[in-house]
Amino acid sequence: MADKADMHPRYEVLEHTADVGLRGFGKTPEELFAAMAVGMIRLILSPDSQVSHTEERHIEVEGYDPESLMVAWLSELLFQIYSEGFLPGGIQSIKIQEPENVSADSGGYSASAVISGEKFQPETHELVLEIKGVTYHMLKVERLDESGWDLDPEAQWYAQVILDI
Amino acid sequence: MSNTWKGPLERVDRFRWRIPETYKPGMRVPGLIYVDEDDLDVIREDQAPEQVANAAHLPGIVGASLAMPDIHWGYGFAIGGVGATRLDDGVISPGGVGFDINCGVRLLRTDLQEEEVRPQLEKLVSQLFRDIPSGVGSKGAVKLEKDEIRQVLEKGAGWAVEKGYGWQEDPDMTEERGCMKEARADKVSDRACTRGLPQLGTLGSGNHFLEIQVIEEIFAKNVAERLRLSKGQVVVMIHSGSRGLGHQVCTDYLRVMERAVRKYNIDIPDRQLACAPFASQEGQDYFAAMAAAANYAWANRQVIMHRTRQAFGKVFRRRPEDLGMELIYDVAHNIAKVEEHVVNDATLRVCVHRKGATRAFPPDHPDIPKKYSDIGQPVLVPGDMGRASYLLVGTEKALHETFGSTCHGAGRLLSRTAARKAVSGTAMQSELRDKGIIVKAASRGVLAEEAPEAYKDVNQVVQVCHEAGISLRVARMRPIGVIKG
Repeated sequence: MADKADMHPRYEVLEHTADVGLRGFGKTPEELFAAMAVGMIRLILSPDSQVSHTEERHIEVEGYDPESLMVAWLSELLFQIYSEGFLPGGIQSIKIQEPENVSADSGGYSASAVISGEKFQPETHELVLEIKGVTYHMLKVERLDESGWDLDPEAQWYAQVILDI
Repeated sequence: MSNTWKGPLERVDRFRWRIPETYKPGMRVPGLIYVDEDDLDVIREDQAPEQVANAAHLPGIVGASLAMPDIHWGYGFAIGGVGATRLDDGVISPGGVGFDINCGVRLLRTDLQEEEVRPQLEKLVSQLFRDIPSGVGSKGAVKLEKDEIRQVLEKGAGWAVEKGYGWQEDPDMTEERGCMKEARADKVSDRACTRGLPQLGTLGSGNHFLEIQVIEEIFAKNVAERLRLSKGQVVVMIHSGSRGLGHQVCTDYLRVMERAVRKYNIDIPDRQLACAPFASQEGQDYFAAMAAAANYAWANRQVIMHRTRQAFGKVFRRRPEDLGMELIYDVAHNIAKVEEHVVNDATLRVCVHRKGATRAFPPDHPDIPKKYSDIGQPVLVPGDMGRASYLLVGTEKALHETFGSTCHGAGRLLSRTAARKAVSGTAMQSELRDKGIIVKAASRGVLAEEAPEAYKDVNQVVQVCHEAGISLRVARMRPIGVIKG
């Protein structure tokens, strides 16, 4: 469910029989990508795991379109968490770029971000969920026209992913 | 999020329901779901049948897009889905395998009876929990050098045995002898290797488990006798997969397939069905990497089994050999394999995708161990921790109807969040204890998510497979000790 106490970032967890879904909102693509990242990280970390900002990492990913960029972005964060043992505590900056010429093959969507966090420490951190991967199933990254969204007039971008757990 | 599925299901016979090719314009073959009439409503509760229809769009798919009785909503293929594609003009799709490549099950026997194990059960479960790392991101079971992982990827279970994790004969009792020869370590990214390096020999989390089970009922006495199994005997079931390495291989190749779909102009109704022609570079690369991840999974289960034997040895102060701890069989239930099948009266080599489905080859099939040529391939079906698991054998009928496939488990009924809401992990642990089942889990949350209530009744799933004749019941086991991630 959306974290009411914290309107930024905006996301909610969706029910799916075997997997878990995540839906996020943002005023800009950047806000949207940040919201989805935070939503996913909160699924993985126990609520009482405090992550301090002792290290910064620069992350760059690419995609063929906004959807595949979202998959690449979230997959990269999974790699950081499960393989590098680096827990993202916050997103310091993020820039999404669209290609100047959209063609079928070249793609050219990119996200460049600086995330801050720290290395996993078993004494202070608990991982409660192993996400195997970010699926393309029911995947959406969309711009909403003003009439299309009645819950939050400020949310102009919206995304949905199903995570395999 | 789930809506009732309202598409057409035509009755073929008692257990088979067809989604006609005309349901969606791009379908190349019909869908065929194995399900009892009484469960039709359950099947329609989510979009799994739509996914069966979607898989029927894959170029080169032959026969039918199949679903086993434990079908439930997944991504790409439905879980419980089977699809075979031609090698020359068909595709291979990571969405027909899943992220946990070669997630599978192995069963080992012991000479021990329940009454011999009971007094030591607490100690045994603790020993296993200590010796076999489990839980989210579990690691540290095997010290693996960076170059060594490449050997694991190409040798599979054989690598583990070479290194002393097991007995010479173990790989013979493993599907593919624990090694797909098509594997190419150089098709697996450094990232995937990095993820897999510390995790070999670990159980992982979610629905993966290690269970000490007791044979509760024998259905086919002659087959059970051949496997040296009888009522009251203790066996061990191990359910795990290729861990982070397999997850990363799938992630890497989904991107490759996305590009391939554009390059080869493949029209698919769900992006998760992204695929490439089997014969293309992309298709061959994925197949080689998937096979390598499958080999990692076989090595993983081999190491876990070795640790299990050692733990039994410590607790019972006897050599595992003297406890009769032989591997009965090991099956993969998330995999793509090249196999020979008869399609429309012609023998054809096809790429069989099994996503939450188990191979179930009949007696005398060349791909099963000689030792089992008279009884057929053992099939292992894990249930939930409160109910039962099954040992079945493959049949000729499966070979004809389902590309030699059957069910893989109970199939989820409740989402993990719904299960957490419905069940308390702590309460369940004591409830199971009252039933004589000792459970140790790395996290309490996992217990609630994996509660019996979250699953379909495995007894019913297996009954459909048995009555439909796509595998036959041999024995039912109930758990007495459970290790969860």
